[in-house]
Amino acid sequence: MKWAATGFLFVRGQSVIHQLDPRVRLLLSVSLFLMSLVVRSIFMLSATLFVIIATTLLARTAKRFFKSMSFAAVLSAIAFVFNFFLYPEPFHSAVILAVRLFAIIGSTSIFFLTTTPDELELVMRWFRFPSDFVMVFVIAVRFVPILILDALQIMDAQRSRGLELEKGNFVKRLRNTTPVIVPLLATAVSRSLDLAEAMDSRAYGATTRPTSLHKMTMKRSDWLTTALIVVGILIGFYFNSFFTIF
Amino acid sequence: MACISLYSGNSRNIIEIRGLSFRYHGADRDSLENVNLEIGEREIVVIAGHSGSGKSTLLRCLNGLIPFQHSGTYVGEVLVAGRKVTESRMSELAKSVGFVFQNPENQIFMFSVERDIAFGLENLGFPREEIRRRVDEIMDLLGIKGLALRAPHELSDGQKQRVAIAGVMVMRPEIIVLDEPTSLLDPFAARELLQLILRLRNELGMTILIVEHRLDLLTRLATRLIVMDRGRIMFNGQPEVILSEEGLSNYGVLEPTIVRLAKQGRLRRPDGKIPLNVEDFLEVSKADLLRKNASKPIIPFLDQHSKNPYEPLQEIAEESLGRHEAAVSFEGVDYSHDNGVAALIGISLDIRKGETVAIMGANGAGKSTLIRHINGLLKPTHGKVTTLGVETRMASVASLSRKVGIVFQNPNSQLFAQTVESEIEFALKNFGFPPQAIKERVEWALDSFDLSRYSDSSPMELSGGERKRLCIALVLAWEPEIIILDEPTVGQDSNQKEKLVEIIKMLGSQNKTVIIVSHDVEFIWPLQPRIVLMSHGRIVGDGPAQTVLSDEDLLNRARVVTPQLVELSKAIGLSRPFPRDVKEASVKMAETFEKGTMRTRTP
Repeated sequence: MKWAATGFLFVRGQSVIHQLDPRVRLLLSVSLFLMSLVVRSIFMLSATLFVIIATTLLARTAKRFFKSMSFAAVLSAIAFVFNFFLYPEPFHSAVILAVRLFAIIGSTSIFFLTTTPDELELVMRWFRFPSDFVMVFVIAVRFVPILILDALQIMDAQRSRGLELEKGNFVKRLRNTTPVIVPLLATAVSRSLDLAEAMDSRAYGATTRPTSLHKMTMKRSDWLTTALIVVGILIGFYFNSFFTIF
Repeated sequence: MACISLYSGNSRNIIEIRGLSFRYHGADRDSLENVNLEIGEREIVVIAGHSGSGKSTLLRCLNGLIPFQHSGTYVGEVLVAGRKVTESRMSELAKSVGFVFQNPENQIFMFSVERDIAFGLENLGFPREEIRRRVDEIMDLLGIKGLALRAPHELSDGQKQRVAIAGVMVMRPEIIVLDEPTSLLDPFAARELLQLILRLRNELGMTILIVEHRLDLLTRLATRLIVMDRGRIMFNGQPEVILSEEGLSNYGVLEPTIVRLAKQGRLRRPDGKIPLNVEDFLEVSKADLLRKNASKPIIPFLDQHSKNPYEPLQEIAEESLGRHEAAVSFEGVDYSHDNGVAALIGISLDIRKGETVAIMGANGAGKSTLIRHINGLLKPTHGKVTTLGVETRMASVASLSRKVGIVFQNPNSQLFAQTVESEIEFALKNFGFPPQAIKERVEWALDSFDLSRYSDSSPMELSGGERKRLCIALVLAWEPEIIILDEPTVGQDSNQKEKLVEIIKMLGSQNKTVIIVSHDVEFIWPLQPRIVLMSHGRIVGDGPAQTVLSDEDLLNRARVVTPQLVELSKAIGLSRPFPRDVKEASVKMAETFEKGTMRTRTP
């Protein structure tokens, strides 16, 4: 469970990808997502996957990428088994589906692996999400790792009282989680009450359009990258009409 | 009731409270009862009192959290910077009153330090350039510029509290209100934070209201000390006047050691006030000595009522321990977290049966990681840990826990049952005690920890101190051979700390192995246990309290503060062994007086 906590702790990267405006990164991610979704041939899909992997290498997030993608690989494998063995799907379409699934998950993780919650918040504000909504999101992301650590503390305490979480049948195990869930809820509620006080004490909600210390600015490299992405999409669609299966 | 108005008349009052009573929605008594208070500009006001005395409630009335966020019955009037609180908006008040809370974690929202500091100004819609300028300025002032882009999880608790202070200071409030800002910090970080607050006050001249238990550092600079009890102001005046009063400990006031020593010796300054610093103290003890020598009654300082002969410290117990077998032994233990960060490095440690050991060190030194190895919650990356003859790698947590009881720091992170009784039963059932034994043990635990009247109540209805007692009771109920207390004093008031001392002494007398993890030197010092001092995952000191806790260089390196009594003893020229408590100190002073080796002037 500890990995889950650290997975949410963002590391500020220094790569060329990280230096792009977060909106451009979002565009890149969304484009690759759409590509993975619509291309029909295995060739085009492989090309898309290649771009995805190249980007993660460029962003120097490959290690974390493959760590989080191991889950996606399992999912893809399951999808393949289901389609090929249980449904009368031909081999190549089962492969395509599995790779597609992998590419879809991979494309979204590009954005989330390179974007800090701060940047995500700026992007959300740029899209004119309501202020309260953005704040709920920010706090949720900020407190997920804290709550996971709380849960670990609670589990330590209850295991020290002889609780064996992994013992017994399914029903017993489910019941065993009560001593963890109840204190966790209590802790979460008390944290949220504290937060509400602290936010109100710092003028939260004084205006409906708060300003921001940081500002997103499109540099020349950002515009160039945007152009490249657009060209890439056009080329992709053009080729997509040629390759139907392979 | 002593009511001394310092700032009546010409100086402008920045806070005026008239006839204020408040009762939280659904509560059965008033949390504030007819409070009247005037505070002048640039005052430093320290508020003390038991938990539940109304301190926090009073502070929350200043920035409008009461009545805007907490509903209830509100009578009276609060004026802050000339503005009536009930007729202002909270966001307006936020500009005048900056509020710093107890828990460092729960007041940082954003993912970088500078964004978080900017939060208030962003909410108020300040232009970007102005925010930038002010944020930089405040980071400079607080010396946290290097942290600007750090994420909250990359900060220590002390740093988080500084960020929280920066986050309110950036709005340039006239008043800063701090609700127990140091209670979750280790004393070293706490001292740094208090020094910072005082420096800011001197440079910027705002009014400060602070709820704080550590009075030793603040009282010398505070203009006023307020003591609250059950929603009322009991004392209100200059610290040296209020601290001269007797019976303050009944109100949960933790008097500075020098004050307690002066009271023990009935020493007063010529103006009738209590001495608050070493210079004054030496001056008055010298005068006292001369006076008493002249009129002959033999020993000054010795309270006739206290028949407390100065016992030699327990060296005998040490010897008898030598024969006992090991309770816990660490052999070359390293432990690294999943992310590769080393938490324990080369730990070798033997704790013998029946020993009382305090593991001390700053927050993050590796103390919690260490104790989690004793019942196998964590297994060493290298080396081995043996608990009561069993290697922890070879046993389950449950089987080890039967012999090793850990009382965790935060009661809220383990209480879950419907009733206090079933909370105690939980572990007993897990460990497979027969029903009759469970019944007896639950009764024993409820009785011995004064919890019987709550047996059918929900643990959530108990006060903080009672919850702590329950957590100790439920561990002792299964009679573990080794008892580990993890930061037992955090969040506990002085009454509760005294009870804890009694419990620990009782366990020691039953020949249990007691391991206390703590950064609270004032709590540990009177117990005089063996001290294992940790810093950055290593053991840097191991020995009797007298040696380890008086080695200032070592303590500084480990970011642990010296016990006040040791510091004071050194300052007034007492030699080792240093006194365990104030009574011993005054006996020792009397002896030194007799020999004529007392230092009567500071260098």
